[in-house]
Amino acid sequence: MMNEKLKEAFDQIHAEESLKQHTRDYLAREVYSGKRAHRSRPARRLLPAAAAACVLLAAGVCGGWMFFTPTACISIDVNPSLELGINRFDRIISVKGYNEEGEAIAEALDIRYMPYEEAVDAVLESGEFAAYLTDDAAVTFTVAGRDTEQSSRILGHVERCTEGHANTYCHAGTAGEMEDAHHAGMSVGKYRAWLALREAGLDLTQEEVQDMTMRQIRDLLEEAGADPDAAASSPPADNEAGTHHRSEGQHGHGRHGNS
Amino acid sequence: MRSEAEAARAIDLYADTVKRICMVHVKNEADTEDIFQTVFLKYVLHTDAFASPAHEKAWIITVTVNACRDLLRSVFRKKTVPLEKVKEKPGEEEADHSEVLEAVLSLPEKYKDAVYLYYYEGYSAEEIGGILGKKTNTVYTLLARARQMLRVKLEGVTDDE
Repeated sequence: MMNEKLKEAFDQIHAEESLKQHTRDYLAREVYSGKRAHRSRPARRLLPAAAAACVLLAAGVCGGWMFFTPTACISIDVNPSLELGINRFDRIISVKGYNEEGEAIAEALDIRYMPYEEAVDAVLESGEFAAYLTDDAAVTFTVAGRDTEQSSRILGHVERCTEGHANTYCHAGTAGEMEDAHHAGMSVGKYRAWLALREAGLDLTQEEVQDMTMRQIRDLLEEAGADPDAAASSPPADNEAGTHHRSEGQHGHGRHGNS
Repeated sequence: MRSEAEAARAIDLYADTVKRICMVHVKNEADTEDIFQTVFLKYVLHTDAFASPAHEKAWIITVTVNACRDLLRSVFRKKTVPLEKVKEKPGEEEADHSEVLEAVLSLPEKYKDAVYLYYYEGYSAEEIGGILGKKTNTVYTLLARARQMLRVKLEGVTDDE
């Protein structure tokens, strides 16, 4: 009989002693203690919300880590050397000067968290930087990063941006060069220049190169019979070949002939 | 307000009933504990005298059903009730009634209370209507449909109603 089966089935269900005790305890706290306590259960009900908050927090921490991890950089070297660190979301997360002039410009620029496109424009248009964009100066932009697709995209943008500027040169660096440069305390652009000088047989220390202008470096390379752009684009043997990508437009724009 | 002793008595007396109603509706122990707190807090704060023990029990059942409904509307809980969550302790049963319980739990929500109150508590359709706030004819319809569904689900387990 269904009645009996159902009755037998429901008969198996009993309130656990712990459940009864929790209810007694709750009433004792809530009603009989003289001071109203918070219901224990709402806290439990909020568990999913708390769990979701934890997930969001974890995502936030993870997201924060992702946001603040640079995946590419734009090294801008004239005499001032500075580098813009870019995250995977194409935002500027750091602006670092690698010499005194570079530090002064980095301090004056307010480009953190800007999309790199806007940041590059801001740098080129800034009064601090404009002072170095003279006829004689050689302004070198070097883009390097772990993500070759992102680096190519950034380099393409930098090339387009600098088309109208005299004596600007755009290069692609490698992730290995970026790491080596930072280990040496140099911007990628200056580090690549040092590699090029060394390759051309010029025995200069990193410290010496760091104090030189890019114009001086290019002149030295030309005097040594090396093509400053070709030499600078050669990856060192210990860098991963796959990450090196050279911009087709890495020769300077505008007054390239003066270099 | 009722005394602590009265509250303790009600808990001892009606805990199984509240637990069974919770079982057919709510998913986990935390929800069940919530319902217990709600029901017995209301009982303690309910100062009107009950006409009889049956009246008191019916009041407890009504409050429990309503508390379950409120919880079911909550965005925080899901609508399914895994059987393993509601069984008291594995191996405690004298006979395996899992299929019967599963069949009841798998019924749409609107049938569960009527089935429980009719088949377990032994209330009439009219009394169930009073507890659930439904017309007697609606209760009959609910019971007839539930019976039909249970018969299909329990084919082989039971031959008759």
